[in-house]
Amino acid sequence: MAINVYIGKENLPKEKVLVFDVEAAILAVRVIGSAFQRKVLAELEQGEYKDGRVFIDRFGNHLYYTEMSAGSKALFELEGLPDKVVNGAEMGFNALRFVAEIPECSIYFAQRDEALPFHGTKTELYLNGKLYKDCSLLNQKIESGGLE
Amino acid sequence: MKIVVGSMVISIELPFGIHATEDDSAMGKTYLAKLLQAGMMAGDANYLVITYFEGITTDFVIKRLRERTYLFIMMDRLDLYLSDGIADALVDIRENTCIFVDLKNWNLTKVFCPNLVDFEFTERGIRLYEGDDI
Repeated sequence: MAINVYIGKENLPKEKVLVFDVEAAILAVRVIGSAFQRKVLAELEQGEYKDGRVFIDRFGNHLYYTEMSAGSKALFELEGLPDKVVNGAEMGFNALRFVAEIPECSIYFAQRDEALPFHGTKTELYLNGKLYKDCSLLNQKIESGGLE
Repeated sequence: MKIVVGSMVISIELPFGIHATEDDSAMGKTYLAKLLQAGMMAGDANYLVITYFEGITTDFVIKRLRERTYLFIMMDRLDLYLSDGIADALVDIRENTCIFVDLKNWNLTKVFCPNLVDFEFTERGIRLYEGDDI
């Protein structure tokens, strides 16, 4: 169980599949109304889970999951496709905060020198394949810009 | 500037220049882009929306940006296709156009030094107006 962060295309493992376009890949995720999916819908979309086909948005409209924000789609994919690497480029800071709650996922950034809000995660944190003891140490490395 | 798409009114209360929102998801940017695209499909030519698609190229984007002067341009999902050439083109045209960029990677926002935009959703529309500086 681990959160794998990859920064820089050259650091992506060749055997891993990258989900570059999170909008296009959302239909590959099975929406089952997991506690995590419900939380994302409630706190990020300010809506609620209805069923596996639609959710209720902040205005009370029933929408397909293809209409969620890119940040929510990325989170659904991170949780639902743990064997894939999901592009985090379109995730806002408020969406990134939820990543720490996913037990097993891989996230990719083409470039990043800003801290990631993965504090409090109960799983191991890897950055470009190297294990970090906690999020602060991982962020020190990211913010130093010294990623090889 | 007011754009009417179906029963929705999009009110853009922004000066010429490059504008961006806070680095947050689920604000309604892609919904706005879809509304504007629907208006474009229906023939409104005063504005332009560019969004990511598989195979998008810098040349294609620059050609669209420079083909005429638009009052409003939205660059949706720009994190996925921004390049130096596109950044240069946006900077070149910003004096005569209001440009709204959906860009969450702060490294790239440094290229533009954009002004901050706030969103307000109402029953019948969306209002974009100036927020505090980034």
